[in-house]
Amino acid sequence: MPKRHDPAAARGPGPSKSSGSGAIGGLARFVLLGPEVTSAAPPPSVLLLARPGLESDELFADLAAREDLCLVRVATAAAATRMLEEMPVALVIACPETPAAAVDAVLAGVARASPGTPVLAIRTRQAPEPAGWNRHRVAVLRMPLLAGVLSRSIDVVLGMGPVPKSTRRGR
Amino acid sequence: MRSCAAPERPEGERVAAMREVGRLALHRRRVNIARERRCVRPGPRGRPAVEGRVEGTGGRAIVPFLHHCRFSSRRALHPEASMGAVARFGEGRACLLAAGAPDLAEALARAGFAPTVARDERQALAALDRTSPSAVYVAQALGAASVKMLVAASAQRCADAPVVVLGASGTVQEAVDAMQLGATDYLAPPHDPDAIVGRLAMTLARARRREEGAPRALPGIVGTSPAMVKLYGAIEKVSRYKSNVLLLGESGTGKEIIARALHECGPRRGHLFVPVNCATLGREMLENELFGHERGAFTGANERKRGLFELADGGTFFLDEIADMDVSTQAKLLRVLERNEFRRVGGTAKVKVDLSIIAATNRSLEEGIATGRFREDLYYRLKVVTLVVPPLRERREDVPLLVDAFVADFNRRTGGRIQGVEPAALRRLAELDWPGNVRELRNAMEGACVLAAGDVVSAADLEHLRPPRRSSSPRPAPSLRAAEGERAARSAPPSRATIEIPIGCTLEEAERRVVLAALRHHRTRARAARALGIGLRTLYTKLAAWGPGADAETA
Repeated sequence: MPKRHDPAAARGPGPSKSSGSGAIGGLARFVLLGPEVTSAAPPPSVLLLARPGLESDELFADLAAREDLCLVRVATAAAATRMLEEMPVALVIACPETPAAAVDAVLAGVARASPGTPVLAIRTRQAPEPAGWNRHRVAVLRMPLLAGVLSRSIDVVLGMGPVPKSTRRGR
Repeated sequence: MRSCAAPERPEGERVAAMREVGRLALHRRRVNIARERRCVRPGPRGRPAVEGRVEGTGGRAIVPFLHHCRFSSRRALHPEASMGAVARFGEGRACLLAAGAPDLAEALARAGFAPTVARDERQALAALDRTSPSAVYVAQALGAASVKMLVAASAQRCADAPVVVLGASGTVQEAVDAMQLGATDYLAPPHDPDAIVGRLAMTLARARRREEGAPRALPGIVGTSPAMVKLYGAIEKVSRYKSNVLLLGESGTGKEIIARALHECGPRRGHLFVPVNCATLGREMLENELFGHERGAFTGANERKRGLFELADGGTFFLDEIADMDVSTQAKLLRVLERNEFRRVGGTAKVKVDLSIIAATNRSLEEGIATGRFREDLYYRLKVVTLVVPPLRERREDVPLLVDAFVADFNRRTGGRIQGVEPAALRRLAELDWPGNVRELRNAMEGACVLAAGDVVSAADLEHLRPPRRSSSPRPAPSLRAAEGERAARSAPPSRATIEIPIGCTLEEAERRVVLAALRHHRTRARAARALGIGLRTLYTKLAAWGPGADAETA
């Protein structure tokens, strides 16, 4: 039986929800984890669904260099679903080349293994956004991205903590 | 003013607690803040406890003080003397709140800021014109359009100030949208004023440390040779202004990286950098991409499409292989450069944009003007500042640094475990001429890393590389070497090899035959491109367009 997802563990080293409101939990994670402050807690895992290629390598080069994230890269939706079942994941990112159907498959995996885990879908400028994504916790980032936008988006999304029940439906 | 500790606490206890917290912070100890117990205590492994309690505002009120101690450049400040540092770290700097909550303004004022509260977008824009705030808070409650406008205006008028969006719904999409607009940070509701001030303390302290640190490194550029140092100096000067720049240099020298560095170091760094290769798209497609189109402009134009110029508004546009741009498109580009406006394809309305243009080429634009393939007026418009990127053979001393960077990049991308390169292999790499420049070296290093027998690249792993080409005459001085290869190829004695092109053959087919014959004759694509008088990237584009069969024909 694979280990189920533990949102508290996946959220990373921030204080537990009981220690304050959701926003404060997200805040304290940043405040206490400055570059000079060490933490015994492992970095949050970010699952990256991207086929190898020069474009995706360049897009995610900043992320790969970050030491405060545990970046797990997979090439297929099936592999992503399996990873979701096997390890706690704080965030899922889908690269622009990922077909909408593959993102849908990952969303199904997220709903099954770790509901509430946010998903960042990076899409090209004109790519349509399937209506079904509104029901999940999916945020769409449109290409081209400003320098640092992806990294900052990840920081912000990870700092937001678990999804409030009132906002789970729709964006 | 109110200190971070509650006023009802005895002064002596409060000072003792703050002194201990400051001591821990200065020693870079980890400090846990337990809100329930309302005390500040140190991290695990038996570090000394802090007995002083911080009441009233909760434990997290101590956070700005901790950060003041940790990140302030004035480390000599005694913790005891820093009592109330929270109240002073704002140092009277201006701070703008666009429709923020009143209690946030109060908290910022307590922290020593001079907050200006704007009720709507108009007031906020006026405040941005009047003052130069150190931080800008924009409430999502103002509406998406106002948030977009204010984030963009803040980035333009006070580029170094953090712009924070105060969320309304707290959804992931709202946060991501704020980041995509260019905001520095996003705070989901509910907004705790003390926590927000703590976060601002951290952001400002980090920014100050960056400013006080070593001179900013140019992103992605490697090299310490005199030629590169000279180029860094030029980039430093040029990037201060929004002038158009013309980049000249051989293929593979890293012109796009230089263009990105100019953008990242310049006043437009908060906006988009949009690169376009003029050689990869046909005239109509390029115009459509650059200018966009109106709905119904042509068959298949089902909706209005914004062009890349519009998308890059406020940012930097990089036009690579500008010499390959069609003359009619050049005329339209000239209008954008002169009037900062254009019309979408099929449209009548003018679209205003504010852009810096960086153009690059590896060919001689003067020759293009002489042959009528390049507009002279556009040339002078682009050539406000000209930078020449040196080829690798003129900065051989940078080869070891580049090799290290490429090995590290290979390990990072592929999970490889290559430790480095043997000295003998490094010497061999430095001896080669590298006609394909840094791009060729990068690809050669990747090949060598893949084929390496162990975890070190040896000279044996580089045997597939060409032997050094010794030329009897010294290389010309670094001027416009873009045309050098072309001229050299043209001045070289013509080859005896011939090809036959039957009359009636289309121009495209004739071009295909000539290019493939050149490839067969010259063996390498770089040499063939030089002999044909086209850029290497143009050659790749043509080969890609002709499909895999073309490669097979050259084998």
